[in-house]
Amino acid sequence: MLRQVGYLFLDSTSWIDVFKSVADALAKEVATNLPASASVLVVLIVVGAAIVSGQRLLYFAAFALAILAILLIGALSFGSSLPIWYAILLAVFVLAGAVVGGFFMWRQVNPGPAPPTLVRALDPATIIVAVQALEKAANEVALQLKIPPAKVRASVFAPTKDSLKIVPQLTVRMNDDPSELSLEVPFGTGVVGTAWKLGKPLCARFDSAKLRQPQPWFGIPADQASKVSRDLRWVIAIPTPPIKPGFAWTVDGLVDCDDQNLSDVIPSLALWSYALGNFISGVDLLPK
Amino acid sequence: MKTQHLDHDQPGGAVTDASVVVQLDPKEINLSPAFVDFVKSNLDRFGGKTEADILGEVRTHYAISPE
Repeated sequence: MLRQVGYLFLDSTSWIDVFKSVADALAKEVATNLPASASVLVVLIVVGAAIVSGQRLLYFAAFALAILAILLIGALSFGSSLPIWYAILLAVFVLAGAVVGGFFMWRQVNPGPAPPTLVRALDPATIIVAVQALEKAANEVALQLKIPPAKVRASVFAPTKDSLKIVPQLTVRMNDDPSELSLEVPFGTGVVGTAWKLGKPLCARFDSAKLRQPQPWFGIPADQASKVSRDLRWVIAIPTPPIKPGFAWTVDGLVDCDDQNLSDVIPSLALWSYALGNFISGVDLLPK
Repeated sequence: MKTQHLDHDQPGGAVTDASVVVQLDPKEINLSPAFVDFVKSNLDRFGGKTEADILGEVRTHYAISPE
């Protein structure tokens, strides 16, 4: 077939004629040659799968198969007169295809470490503006709940491997007990850990009598629960941003309020959540 | 705003009177005077966005967040 194509190139008078002739020759070859027809069919199926799935690996596979099909059809056309360089070229293409294809598949199974993200240090200017936002959010909650601002606190929690740890620099009025500033809540436990797991704001009001009993709070390990202020009455926890949070923050109170008022203040915290996210997203909140 | 009460009978013993998951309704998110003042005094920290821009962005964000 390649010889036929070569003759067509020599005999043709215009490029359009050349392309038409090549297409005709290929169509005849494919129509009359079963391996060629099968090769074209396989390539078309892989191209179709690549378009539907949008996977680069399949596009690559389709391209490699197309080259292989052309080489095989050429080899079948030459038959026993196949020169040795053609076999070597074919082997090189097949080997290169296998190596590159294998590498892509290996990378899909073992994607390797995530590319480094830009992480900023928690600098003094960021601490000042983030604490201002926390304080104003806490004051706004106090105003809405009609309780003294001095009894409403706020804290930022940063994720570790399997828990949320309080960021001591990003807290407001957390000055009852220094051990509270080392609080670490496993994911899925406590109010903040549960909110984190759900990816949604969560508020909880505590039974003041039960809080003084030595039992876990909402699944928090006893050693961590013992750090929390015994005067705590309620907590609002907000993962920020929602769904796939980068950090969480809480507003809590040391005097009681009723359930309805507590959940009603949450919409006002969405904007403060945005502000905090603007200031501390991409910041290394727990430097080693 | 939609709320969902959590099960209090979970292992480990929740000691809450009430715990509520909140699904925010964008229409309930509104500017407060304190937030407006805060944005105005920290314009550079918000990349020049006004409080109205931020409100729109936050409402859109909560509108597209799945339930």
